Amino acid sequence: MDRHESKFIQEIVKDVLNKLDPKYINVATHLVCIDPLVLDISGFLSTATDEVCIVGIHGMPGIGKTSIAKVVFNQFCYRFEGSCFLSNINETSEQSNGLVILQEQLLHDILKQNTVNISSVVRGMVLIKERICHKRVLVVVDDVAHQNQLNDLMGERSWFGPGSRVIITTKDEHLLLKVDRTYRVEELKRDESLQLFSWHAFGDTKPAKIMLSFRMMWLITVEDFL
Amino acid sequence: MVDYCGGLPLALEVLGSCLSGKNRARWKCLIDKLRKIPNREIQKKIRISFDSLDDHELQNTFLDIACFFIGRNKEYVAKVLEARCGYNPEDDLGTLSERSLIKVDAFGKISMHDLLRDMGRDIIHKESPGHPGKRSRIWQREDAWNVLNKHMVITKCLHKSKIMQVYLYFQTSCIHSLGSSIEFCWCFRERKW
Repeated sequence: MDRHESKFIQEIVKDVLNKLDPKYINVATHLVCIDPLVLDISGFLSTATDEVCIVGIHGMPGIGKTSIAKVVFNQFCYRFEGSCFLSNINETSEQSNGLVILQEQLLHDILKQNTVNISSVVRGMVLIKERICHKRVLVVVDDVAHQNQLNDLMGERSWFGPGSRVIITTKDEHLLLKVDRTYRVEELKRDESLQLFSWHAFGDTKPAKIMLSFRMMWLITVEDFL
Repeated sequence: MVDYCGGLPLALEVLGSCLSGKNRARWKCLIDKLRKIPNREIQKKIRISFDSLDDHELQNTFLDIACFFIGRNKEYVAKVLEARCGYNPEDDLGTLSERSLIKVDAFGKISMHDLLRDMGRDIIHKESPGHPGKRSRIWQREDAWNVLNKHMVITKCLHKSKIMQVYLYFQTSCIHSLGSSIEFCWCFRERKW
């Protein structure tokens, strides 16, 4: 009897830990100039509507699309019944059964329980549609490169419950024809570039270290005279 | 260095970290090296966009723009490219623009991020690092001059080597010694690239 009880408790602990698993995602420590875009996207996603809203973020590789999606995801993930960040979709789907792995992750992250093994992509599509269509979810599909990847992971809006939000990041603007709003990530301006560069090169956002020391020297000299 | 990155956070991060904690002499060495050889980590990431271009013709169009047509007008580029590919490349240009590989401004001027341009040119350079004559495109005046000089006669050179296009931006004196540029155009049309 005791043994049964301890086993039962262990099961509960496992389940609670699984459910308490922090949802937020690790984002780079120093982000420059993404606030305006994040604000814009957050504002749009906060719109009180029961419709499913889809936003697309596009831009060249390395421009910061994923970072922006991560920040928005972290802001919103606790407001939904379930949330999932599917990263590097293009890379993962190139593996054998890659799309099935992604479908399993989507179901697992949202339902917070181990789902049955998905036998094929078509089966996965049915499962997602059936299990998620009543839940209000936040899903990020990161780095989509082909239409079929979108079809297999989020075929139609009706797959997600009312009030759900979806963010797609891609290098190909063409894939964003059916989304509600698209955002293009632009290159950083010179002073912003300098800030980010300085952070990585000197661990400081102030680039003019040498300039500063010059100014200090000048101050010291002036003080000496006084 | 910051200008070299062209406002791309990835490049700023990678290069900033590369230079972190290094002295002035090593900074200089690294910057000099970058001018010749693009950083592999950045190139790898950026190249994904190029590799994901579905057809060979799209890749060719991208490489042509990277080598010859940055700053040119879209209509002009479309006209020249049409002579090579045999169809109106407007749609290809649209696709490249959608995939953020090129930018077309309100006046139709085509531009490209410096790092994407370097990536494109590096692809051509790697076709034959030591022999410009064996590369598919030549855009530097010195290379073009050397290759053409070696072969003496333009038509002969174009038929013998693998060169598809040569950037004709020679000074007037050079054009005289090369023959007329009309002859050049004729060569291209004849071969119907």
